[in-house]
Amino acid sequence: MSQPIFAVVGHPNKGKSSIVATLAQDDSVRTTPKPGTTVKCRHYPMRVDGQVLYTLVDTPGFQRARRALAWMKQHETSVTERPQVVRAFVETHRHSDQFPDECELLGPLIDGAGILYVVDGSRLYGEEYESEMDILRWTGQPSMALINSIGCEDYIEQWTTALDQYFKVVRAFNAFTAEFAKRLELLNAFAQLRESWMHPLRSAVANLKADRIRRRTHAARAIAEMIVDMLRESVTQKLADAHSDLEPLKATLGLKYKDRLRKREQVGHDEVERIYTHHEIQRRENAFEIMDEDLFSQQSWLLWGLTRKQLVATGALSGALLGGGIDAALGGASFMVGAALGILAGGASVWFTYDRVADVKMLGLALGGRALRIGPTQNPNFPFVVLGRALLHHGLVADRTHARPHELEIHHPDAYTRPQPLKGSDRKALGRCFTRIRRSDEFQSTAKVADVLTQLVDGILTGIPSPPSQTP
Amino acid sequence: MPGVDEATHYNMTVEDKAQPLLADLVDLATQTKHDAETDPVERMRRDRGIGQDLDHLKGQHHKQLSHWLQRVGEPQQLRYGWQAVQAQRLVTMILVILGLIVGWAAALTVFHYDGSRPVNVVHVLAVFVALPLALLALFVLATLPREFMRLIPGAEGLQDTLSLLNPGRINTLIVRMLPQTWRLALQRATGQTQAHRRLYGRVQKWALFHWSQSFAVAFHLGSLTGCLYLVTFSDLAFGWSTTLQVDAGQFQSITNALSWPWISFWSDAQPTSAQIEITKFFRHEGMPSIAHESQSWWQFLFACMLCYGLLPRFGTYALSRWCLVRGIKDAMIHTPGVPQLLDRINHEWVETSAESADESTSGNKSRTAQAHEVNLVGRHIHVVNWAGIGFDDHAIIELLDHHWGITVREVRQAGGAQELDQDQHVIDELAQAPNDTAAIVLVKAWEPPMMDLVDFLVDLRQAMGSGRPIVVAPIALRKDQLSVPSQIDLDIWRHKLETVGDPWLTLRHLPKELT
Repeated sequence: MSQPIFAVVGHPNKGKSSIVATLAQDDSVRTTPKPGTTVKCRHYPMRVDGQVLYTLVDTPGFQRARRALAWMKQHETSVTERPQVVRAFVETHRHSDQFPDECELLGPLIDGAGILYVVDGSRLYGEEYESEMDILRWTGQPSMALINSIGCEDYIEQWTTALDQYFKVVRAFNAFTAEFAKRLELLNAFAQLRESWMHPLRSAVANLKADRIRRRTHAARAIAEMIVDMLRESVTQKLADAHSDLEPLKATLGLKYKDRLRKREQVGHDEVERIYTHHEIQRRENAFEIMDEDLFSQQSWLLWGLTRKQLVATGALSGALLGGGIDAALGGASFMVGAALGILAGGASVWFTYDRVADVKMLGLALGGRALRIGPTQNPNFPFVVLGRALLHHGLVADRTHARPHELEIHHPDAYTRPQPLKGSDRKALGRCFTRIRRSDEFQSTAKVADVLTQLVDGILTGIPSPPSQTP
Repeated sequence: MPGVDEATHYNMTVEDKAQPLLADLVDLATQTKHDAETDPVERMRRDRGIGQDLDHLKGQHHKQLSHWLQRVGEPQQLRYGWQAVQAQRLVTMILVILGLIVGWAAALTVFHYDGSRPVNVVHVLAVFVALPLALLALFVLATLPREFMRLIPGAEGLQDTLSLLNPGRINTLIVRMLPQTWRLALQRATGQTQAHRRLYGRVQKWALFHWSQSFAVAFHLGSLTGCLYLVTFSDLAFGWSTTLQVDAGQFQSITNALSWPWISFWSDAQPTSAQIEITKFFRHEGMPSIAHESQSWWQFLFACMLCYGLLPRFGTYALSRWCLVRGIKDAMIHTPGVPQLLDRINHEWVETSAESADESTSGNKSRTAQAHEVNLVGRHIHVVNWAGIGFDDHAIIELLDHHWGITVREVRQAGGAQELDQDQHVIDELAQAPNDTAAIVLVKAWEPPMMDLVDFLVDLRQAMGSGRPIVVAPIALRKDQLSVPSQIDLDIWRHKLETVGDPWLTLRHLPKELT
């Protein structure tokens, strides 16, 4: 059984390439307001693991339909011979420059392709289309008409009346705004054209649905990983001199930290666009402001990088050992008080002498030093802001058709003053997740929390309706 | 093997045996990093092909990854994994040998008997029971999950300190002595490069514990062997002595408690009260008389060393090994690039994009000609209504009179649904018109200029001859009302007409402004 092929044909500049770009999810298709952009047929096979289920063919528009039809009428013998006459037309003129566009677009049709005839439903019906529709009827191929809407006006009803006389199926389909479900609906409609096409097209629809779910899960993971990285981001600078002026350093570090966060967000958004095969989008969005007054912490560090808490424990342990020795020497009469006192003394001494120890040098090498660190941000709303921006971006990208112009402008609301549109249960679960991310030191626990966060984000993405699409 | 190159031989070796997990972990990181630079489509094709072959392993991610590595890994890159495993095994062997030696030496020291005084059971219990139990407790503390330790004040810091004191850290010294390639491979395995420290943290942690427990098991094996050796090949006498105020009855309660695990099947290994009473000795009394009962202490001591020394360490060794394997598996799954790899392997690859690159538009070769501005007032005006604009003849005449101040002689229909003969008839009539005739072709601004119209304009020019103006006038309609054509539409029409190369062909839209 041969797989179905659909040639997208019609008048120039009526959105044929846009429809192909939308159905093929390919933003490399050239779509411009200028007519005559497509000069050669281009095939878009839908493959699953290498097996082609159906093929779309983008074609150039009719240019000399009346002349072509006149030639065919001249060579017509009977109605039953019309498909052969069309074939003869193509073979006669294939290598001449008289009908290059007609030969190019009729080629797939004489090879058995189904017809998808595209018109612009925002413009008046015109008598000049009748020659084209007559030619298509002569091919004898199963055909469907798609009423695209490029402008704002609505002449769909007028077009439907005219097209119903020529085509088996007539559908309205806006290449710029059709969401994913609409595209699947159209593929299901293709299956009505010929019975033998039903099975591959249904298989194609099922695979596209599964693929869609997979992309959404990928996008959820990309968003989760972005949030984890941004929550854990920090910048540290060791201080050359323990008493140096911190203010200029704070400013520099602050800029570096914020720049890293913004770049990480950009990378995350780029990844989401790539997941949905939007390679040409030029995104313009307002960068978020990191509002956190307590970004800085000055910390001391020692030779093995132990923090104050770790040193206190070490001091306590050594104190306990010493105190325990005393207890043993007293033959148990001290009731382990020595050990207890040792713990307190050891821990306390470390606590109070921590800073001084940090300044000690041994053999010319500093045992300790000071470092200035900025981040990770402790603002509890920060991850929700990042998530909110990511959800808005995802919503605009996921259902964005590949026919749209490449510029994407996103206006993120000021999320610090407006609450995130999340369900209460989601917000709580997210809050717990973010807290665990902030606390976890080991990767394994971070990875597990990232997995949980991915599932939460995926659940949210499933439930969110797409934001209103921008007019092209 | 003569005649077989190294790469082929290597691949045969790899395919015949399954790699240890650690080798897979190292090679996976190397291979996914290398893959990041390859073409995404080629990568998808390759991995999905492998995935289809591995359909029988669906759900077994680690096996899938192992098979994938064998299929795509270059022999050079796969060596790192094997080197890391060999290095790990060498370090383990050295620690085991060290442990055996230290255990043996400890046994010889603690069980030393020169005839001046008996071997003190209290020493043996302190070194081979109390100390191992204390260290076991520290081991448990060191391995407890971080989330649990956070609940106890100070416990986190203590755990960090204990990790610093982990005997497995001796590996750092041993690793320094390894050949460079093995050292690098091992460092890759435990992710000591900063970039992967967080990913491999758990692997490193449990690798250290695994080494330390290998040492501990070997230590206890060595000490047990030493004990058995001395018991078998020398004549030992045992007694018990302590400065603490402990009488025979209290000491027996301690030995009874320690004997509880084996009392049901090895009663000889539990000291009797008489044995305990008789074998107590004090240093100031000099060498006590050695009773037969003093020798039978060895069974109890051997059982204690086995039960409280070796057996727990078998358990901790097994636990650390299990945790290490789990850590490696987790790290494998979470290695950057692996989730995406597993997705490519396990899910259908759906492609919808074009087979070939889009060719650039040919664009007609522009035959631009400088158009002369035309004054239509006073001329014989003939209008061609191209493709049936939605105005009747009378409306067209009024329109042109109102907006351009010209009088139309005749309106003719062409294009659209008209036959070609009709177009030719219009051309012939215009050719016959007086010399001062100007032809205005009304077109729909929103429709693109087609070659059908261009052919008509070319034929019209040929028939009318040079000099007589032809004006193309795009008309726009909005909600069925006359409107100003958009600049985009006008530009499209202008560019197309320029390609006709007719200097007396102009574009003038109607109207310039709506009044």
